Amino acid sequence: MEGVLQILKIPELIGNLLAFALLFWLLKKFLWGYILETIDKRKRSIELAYQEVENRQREAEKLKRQLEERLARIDEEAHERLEQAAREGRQLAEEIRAAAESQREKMLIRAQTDIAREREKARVELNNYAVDLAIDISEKLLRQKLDREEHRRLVQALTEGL
Amino acid sequence: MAVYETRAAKRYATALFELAGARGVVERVDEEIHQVASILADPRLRRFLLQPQIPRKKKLQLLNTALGEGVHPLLLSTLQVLLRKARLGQFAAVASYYDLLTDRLRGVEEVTIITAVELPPEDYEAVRAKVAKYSEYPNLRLATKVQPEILSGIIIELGREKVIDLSLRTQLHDLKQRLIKHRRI
Repeated sequence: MEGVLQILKIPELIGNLLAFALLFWLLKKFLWGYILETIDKRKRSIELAYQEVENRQREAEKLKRQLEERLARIDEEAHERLEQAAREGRQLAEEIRAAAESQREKMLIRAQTDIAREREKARVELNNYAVDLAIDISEKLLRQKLDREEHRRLVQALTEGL
Repeated sequence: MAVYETRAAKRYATALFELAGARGVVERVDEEIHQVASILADPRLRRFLLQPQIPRKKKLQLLNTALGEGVHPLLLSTLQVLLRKARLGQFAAVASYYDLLTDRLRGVEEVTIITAVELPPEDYEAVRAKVAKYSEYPNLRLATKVQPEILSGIIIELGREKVIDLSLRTQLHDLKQRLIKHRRI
């Protein structure tokens, strides 16, 4: 026991204890509050930082959602526009086809009219030529065939009804 | 006579005829107007009288010298007026219309018979007898013409206005028009 006490050096130990207690008291008295306050501040700061991060994260998620929605809308709009363009294209093609058909009909009618007119013209010309020819031949035949006596008889016949 | 009687020529002829009638010289003027018309038909004289560059005074002198003594003053005056009005070129037409007026006074109308060949006189006479009923005048003076281009048949011209066309040329022409119109060939 005595050996142990010798090893421990009680007075020194007691002094150390007292010094420690004094130090502890001084610390508690003057630094503890400050330390706790600092720790608390730090804790609040960390909590705020966390909160900020969470807020930012929420905001980012919100933005992401908005972006996704926007992208979806853009996709939808693009699809709708493509559909519209396709519809307009089909309509335009139909209009062009109808116009071409109408033009073709008109050209056909005009060509038919032209052909009919030319045919009629040719028919009239041919008829007139045939008439001219017939009258010329008749005149020549009459000149050849009619002698003085026949002229005389014709005059008598023509003037009979006067 | 194949002269185109303009309205002016008719006016001059009518005036001359009325003045001649008032003086009782219609027949004399009628005779002289034909003589003057045949004189003025001479190409050299006609050229001289119608040439615008030659002064009118010289033309009047020529007319007075050449015709002054030989024609009735009325006729000479008419010639002078025609010259002054630059219408001497229409004298043949004036003479022709004067002739018509004289014929009417005498109760005569001219009937011109046109045929393709010459016919015996009795045929012309027969035609004249037949057309007499279409005339307003008691006497018809016959004139004949041969025009081979009418082919055959007859054309009768009664006075200035009436024409009976029975020529084959006209009938063929009508036939031609009908054939063209109805497109029969």
